[in-house]
Amino acid sequence: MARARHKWGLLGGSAVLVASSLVGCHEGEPVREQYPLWTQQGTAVEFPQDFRGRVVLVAFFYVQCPDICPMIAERMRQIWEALPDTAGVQAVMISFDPRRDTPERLRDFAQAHGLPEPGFVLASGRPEVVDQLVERFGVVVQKTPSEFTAGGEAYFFAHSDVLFLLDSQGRIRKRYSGTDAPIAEVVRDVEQLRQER
Amino acid sequence: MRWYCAMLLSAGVTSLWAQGTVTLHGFWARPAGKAIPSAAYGVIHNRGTRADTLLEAASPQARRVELHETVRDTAGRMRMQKLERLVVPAGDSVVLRPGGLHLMLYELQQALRPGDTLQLRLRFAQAGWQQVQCPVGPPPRLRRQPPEMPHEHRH
Repeated sequence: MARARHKWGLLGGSAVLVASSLVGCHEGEPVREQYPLWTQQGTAVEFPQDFRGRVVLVAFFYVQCPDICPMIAERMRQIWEALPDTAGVQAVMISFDPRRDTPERLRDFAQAHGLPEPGFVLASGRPEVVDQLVERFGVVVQKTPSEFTAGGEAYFFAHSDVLFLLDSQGRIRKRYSGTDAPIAEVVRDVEQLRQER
Repeated sequence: MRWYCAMLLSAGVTSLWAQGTVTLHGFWARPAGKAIPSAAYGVIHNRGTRADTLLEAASPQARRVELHETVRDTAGRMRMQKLERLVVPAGDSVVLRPGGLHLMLYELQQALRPGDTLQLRLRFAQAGWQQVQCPVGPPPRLRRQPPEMPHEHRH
């Protein structure tokens, strides 16, 4: 049942949710692999290739999550609304529950939580692709059984609470707590990366 | 007969006293699609001199309501655990908030959209059933305030 996977430490640190300095350290290699995903509109995208040239905020979530993932979505929306200019910026939320999170459900989540389009892309993909993507980003995801969820789909996920910032080259430049990312700091970091483009 | 009336009166007074000791404040619920779990949050205040215990919760709009707590495990994962009861100490409050204690709503009868109202009932050991209406939407603090701005850049 469990598909425990993935260790922290993608950026060379062992701390779980420590935001690092943007300048001069913890710059990751570009994410060169391509991950074919579908979006809430049912359109195919290659992640992160199709977002190159933009500064990208990336979070991982699942629609059935009642508490943490909506908090991550709210925080991303707050960051988005605080950006002085969203040109050249993209927010991407990737579901690690592709079996349930159809484009329709992704669309419903975006609507329920007021995530504006086209600024926010909600996406998922084939399970093996999502597994690889989650592992590439060092996100911890573990399926946990639940005695009571809709339609016999009796599971939740224990998962990381993390928000990534990618530069226009597709490099992971920083990570924050997803639910508690410091808005002013993220806005400042996004602006700095926008200037680097 | 006099004894019987005294018993009734006493029971009524006790009931009124008990029901007045627990109050529910600031409850709200998250938007969610139909068949997608939602969560409700708020403050439970016990003005009484005895601790009270939340035993169960229900809603006509959800098939089942459970008390859950989100915790961070040693691997850094956020996970939920079910609680069977919740003690509200005398003269104190317990806050159900995002990322912590919450009431989990399973199998909604219909989608909850911002502007809707969720009817919620909570049963306490002392105070009995208490009802509260939960506006559906983002957290109240997000409704009242504009988004935090990067003040450092405004000079």
